[in-house]
Amino acid sequence: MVLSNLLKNEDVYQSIDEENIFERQRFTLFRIYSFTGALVSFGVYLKMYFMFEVVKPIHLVLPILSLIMLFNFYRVKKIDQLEKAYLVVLLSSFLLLHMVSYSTGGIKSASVTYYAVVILTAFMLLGRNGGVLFTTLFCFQVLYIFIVSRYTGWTSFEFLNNDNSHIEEDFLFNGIFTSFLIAAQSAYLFSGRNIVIQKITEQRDKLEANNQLLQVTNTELNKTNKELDKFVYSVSHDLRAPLSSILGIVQLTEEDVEDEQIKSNLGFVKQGVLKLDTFIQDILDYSRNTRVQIKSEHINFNELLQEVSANLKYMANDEKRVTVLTEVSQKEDFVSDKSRLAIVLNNLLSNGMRYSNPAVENPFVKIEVSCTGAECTIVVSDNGIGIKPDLQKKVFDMFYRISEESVGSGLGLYLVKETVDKLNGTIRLDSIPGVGSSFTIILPSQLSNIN
Amino acid sequence: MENTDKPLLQRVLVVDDSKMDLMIAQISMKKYAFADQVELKISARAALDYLLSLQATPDLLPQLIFLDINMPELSGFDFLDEYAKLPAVIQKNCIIMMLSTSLAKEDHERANSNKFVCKFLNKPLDRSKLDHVKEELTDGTMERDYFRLLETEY
Repeated sequence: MVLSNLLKNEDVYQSIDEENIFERQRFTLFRIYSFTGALVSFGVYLKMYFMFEVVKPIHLVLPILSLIMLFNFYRVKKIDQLEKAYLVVLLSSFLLLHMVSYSTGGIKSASVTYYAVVILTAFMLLGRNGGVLFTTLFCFQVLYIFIVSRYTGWTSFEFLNNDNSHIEEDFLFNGIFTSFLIAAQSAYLFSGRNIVIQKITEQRDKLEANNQLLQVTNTELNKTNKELDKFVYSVSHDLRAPLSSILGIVQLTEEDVEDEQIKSNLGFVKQGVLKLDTFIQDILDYSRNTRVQIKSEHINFNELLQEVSANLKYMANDEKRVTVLTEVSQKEDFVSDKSRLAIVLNNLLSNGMRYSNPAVENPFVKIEVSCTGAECTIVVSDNGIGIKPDLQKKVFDMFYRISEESVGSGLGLYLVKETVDKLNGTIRLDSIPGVGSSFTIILPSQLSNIN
Repeated sequence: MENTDKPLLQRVLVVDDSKMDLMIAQISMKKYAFADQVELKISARAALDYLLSLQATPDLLPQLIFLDINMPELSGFDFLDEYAKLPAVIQKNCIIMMLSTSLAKEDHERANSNKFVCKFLNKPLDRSKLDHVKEELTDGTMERDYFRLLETEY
């Protein structure tokens, strides 16, 4: 317990984010490594001193290394100091190993195990690239020691003189420290693994709980959506049914009436009814546009324009003199949402006809469609009354009407904009008062969604 | 103002839950010389019973049925399901047209995909719509195509 607390250094440990297990592990490994490194260095030095009673100046490197590692051990208080500290430890142990091999006369089996642990640790501390670099350097080092001791005998000092008993002691000595290192690291790694597993399990449970919550929410949303759809459908029908009855009665009565005053009154009733009906249709279209998913259908613009012209919103008598011109150049297949396109075209066409210029001889609304497979450009232009420049930005706003004379609901162009947005397209308005307006729509193909 | 032409059809049945719409249908069909007798039924059930009661006298069956969609109890589509179970003699004498306020695409598609539905009309019924149907019926092709299609589907 004491050792594990010493190795962890709670202060620093607490400063590391609890979630960041790897940082904690790296830190603890560093502590283990510096501490044991210091012990080993000093141990080897003591062994030199007491066993052989001969200390050469070069052996003083060992206690210095020990001090460096011990200093390093206590110095690091913050996680961001760790990188440099690793380097110090690794270089120190590098030297230490050199010294151990140097003083014990070669590579022993226990030392080999020790080297393996060092390499393993290097990988853990430095990551993959650092580990490879370190291992390469290390191999050179070992090779160097091996060659030198084998062919020159420089490492065999006079006092060692290849005495086998010394070698046995070295073996024991190195073995104790190596075992200690391996045990400490394994114990720590094992505990770390447990923490990792525990964290992963916690995260998985959290994710599963979230997932379930999402599924429930999704089901609820789907249900709400369906209910809303049904609601909009019923409301629109229930609101429109009496309107159409009123319209029918008014139309029947209109024909039987001679009195001009009554005729004009009935005209107002009819206008009001039609306006209300358009309003309801606009709201219905709007609510469907926001909720219903985009469909991918092959669009034949000639057919679509015919349908749109046939299903135009109500028209007052003076709107009937407006000519509708269409020009379609569609060679390739274009994929989009047919009912949404119909909403856009219907609204733009109705607007063009509604706001025709009374002063113009031949009022017209022109729809030009040019399609490539990937993109479609629709231009709806007219020679109507036009829109003043300062009002042009506002026409797409919800419930915005330019003047009291505007007969629409104030939803038409808003709906157009929303629908074009939904189809990932763009819309631009160019208009000169008294000359006319032109709406340019560019729509991407929905082909990517067709499958 | 009253149209003096001879009505095109003798017997037409209108099924709608709205009395106002039934009245509009009756007045306009008489006024624009569309039908001689206009039978009005306020519910799909009543209409089915009426058709069944004429089983023995197919000559008295309506030539044309205008059918509303949104009705309590049995909707227009329920009526069509029941109609499919009626004796062939009834089916071979009547043409069905939907007459609804619904603008929902689903309703249109569902109606048009039913083999008994010949046409979908939007309310209110007015002169231009009646004239249009009249034109289509006068040359007899629509009628012939309708019954031929029914034959082939049996």
